[in-house]
Amino acid sequence: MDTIARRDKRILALQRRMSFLFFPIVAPTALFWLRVIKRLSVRDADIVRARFAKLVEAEPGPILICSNHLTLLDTVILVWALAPLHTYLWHYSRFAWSVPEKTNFSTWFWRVASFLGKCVYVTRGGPREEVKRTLGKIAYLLESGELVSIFPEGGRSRTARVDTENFAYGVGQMVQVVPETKVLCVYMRGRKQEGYTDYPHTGDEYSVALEMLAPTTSATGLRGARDLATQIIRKLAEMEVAYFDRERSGRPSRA
Amino acid sequence: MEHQETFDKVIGIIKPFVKNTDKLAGADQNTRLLEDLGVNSARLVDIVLAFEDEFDIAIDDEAADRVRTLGDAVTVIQEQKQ
Repeated sequence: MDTIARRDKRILALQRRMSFLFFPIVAPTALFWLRVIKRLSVRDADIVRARFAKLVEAEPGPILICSNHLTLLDTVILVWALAPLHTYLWHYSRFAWSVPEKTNFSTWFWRVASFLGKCVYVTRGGPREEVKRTLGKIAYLLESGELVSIFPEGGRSRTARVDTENFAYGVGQMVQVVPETKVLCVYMRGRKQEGYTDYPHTGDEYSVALEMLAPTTSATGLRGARDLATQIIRKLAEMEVAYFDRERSGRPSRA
Repeated sequence: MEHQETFDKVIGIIKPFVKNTDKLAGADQNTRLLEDLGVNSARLVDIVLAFEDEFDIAIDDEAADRVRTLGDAVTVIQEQKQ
């Protein structure tokens, strides 16, 4: 992968520093909204967080977090679910960078919030040079030991299930640019979440399951990207089946 | 391969990906895949890979980017076959 421009490296370094500085303000605000206003909870949170820490510590190489996607706040819920917020101060690289669609952040408030929330924008279907630049930033972050999280479906699932038909292949390109990348698949769902929504349902309880995947392919180019993306989506779909099996059986989540 | 023959094969390949099937019947060289035929942008990759398989060619990323209309698709395929 081509190295990214020095300017981009400086901006990412500045963004990380600013995000860290403002974390003591932003994180409790987000936590207040999640816990008090929305009354959300994570089932077996201690187990989920212990498993996340164990998986991340066991993996010395780059890690890309791939999650299913049903609400606009999934990125925030993911950060909260995976670790107690104060622990990010000691392991700030575990506060994953996100790769949201640029057009979703049109107001200055959301621009600032996303900057402090470690977001790197992507323009879906944008010019090749811009996509390459974004991929370069992601590769740089992964190689620097930062976690990066994306939603491999390319958007909130309109079917309320992991979309195994109409998913994007961008995640495959990300794995291609840093081939040693491991993928931490996260299946996350509120019990009240029957379809896709803007915001999570008030009082909802989230189940979170984690599995590490090492996708590989002998194919290159677009074919390789499709192959890698398909493996990740299939894993999430498997985790979804396991989630509904657990729900039907009434057994609790064990991350 | 004749231009019209390639065009007909392209129509056959993209058919499963087209949402606006009524537009496909009257499609011509200027018909746009995304805007006119309602093809999902994420599926353009599948279409390009299907072209590679059907015509036994390799289409690089830059050429794939140029495929916006049915005419573009025919042009790219014929370029790669030469």
